[in-house]
Amino acid sequence: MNWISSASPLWLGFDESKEDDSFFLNEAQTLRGMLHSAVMNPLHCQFLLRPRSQAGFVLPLALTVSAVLLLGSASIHTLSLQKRLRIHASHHRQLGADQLRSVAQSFAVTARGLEACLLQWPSLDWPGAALDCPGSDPPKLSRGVVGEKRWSLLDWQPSTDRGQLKVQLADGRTSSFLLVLDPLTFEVIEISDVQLQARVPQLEVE
Amino acid sequence: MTLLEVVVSSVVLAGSSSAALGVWNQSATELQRATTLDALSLQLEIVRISTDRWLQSDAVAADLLDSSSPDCRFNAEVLKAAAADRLPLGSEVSMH
Repeated sequence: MNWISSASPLWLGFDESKEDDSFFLNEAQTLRGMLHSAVMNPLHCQFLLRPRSQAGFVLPLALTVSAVLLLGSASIHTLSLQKRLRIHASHHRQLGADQLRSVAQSFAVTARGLEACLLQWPSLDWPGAALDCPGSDPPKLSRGVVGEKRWSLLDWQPSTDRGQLKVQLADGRTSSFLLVLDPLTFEVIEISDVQLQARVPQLEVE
Repeated sequence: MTLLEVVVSSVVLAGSSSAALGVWNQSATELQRATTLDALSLQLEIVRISTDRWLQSDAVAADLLDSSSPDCRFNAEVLKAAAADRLPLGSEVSMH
């Protein structure tokens, strides 16, 4: 039996047990013209030799592998974007904290000299307390500019030798600081680290 | 399995592999850049904390202050030079 006759049951659909070798040889030689070069081409022959149960498995396999590749790459891309967003948010938060530290430093520098007297009272009482602090200017402590950012004082609550400062930038970022005061001059001698708070709606800064 | 099936499968696989490779390269670049930014941010925070501690310590000399200022301000140029000399500034961090 040559290779054509042994392969014939797979692509001609005959039962080999019922036919002899000469029949397949004759049939194969008869069909050689119909099969053209595919019969004689070893590569095409391998395709033809596969059973029908395996026919058409390459395309689904390729589609599956492609789907896995694309889904995997999409997942990795999502992870990288998430990391980038996290880094961007962290940088933005640190930048805001740095600006709010500068605001606290600016408040401490402004609250020296005549304005230090005002730190004895809460910020709500400053208009009336200005009479007890001659030469002081409460609006100087209520707002200012650091760099190109405007800030405003939200609240100042003094206690014995310290006070709670709450300030807000023009973009709505808010923070509070614990300020240590000189018990004699009421000037700020120490500023705590920034305590960021939730962004509140932007207040109008004149 | 036909020749058409093989060709279509090859095209699909080549396209998806090329796209996946491009996305992986881009993701690797993004991750590397994010890691660099993260390290730089950490370095900046270290410099900020060490500067804060240095300025609050007794090691700060009086010559860092501006003698002409009535409210005890720092001399910016002298302070910058002293900070660059004593603080752990990396090659990627500069003062302005």
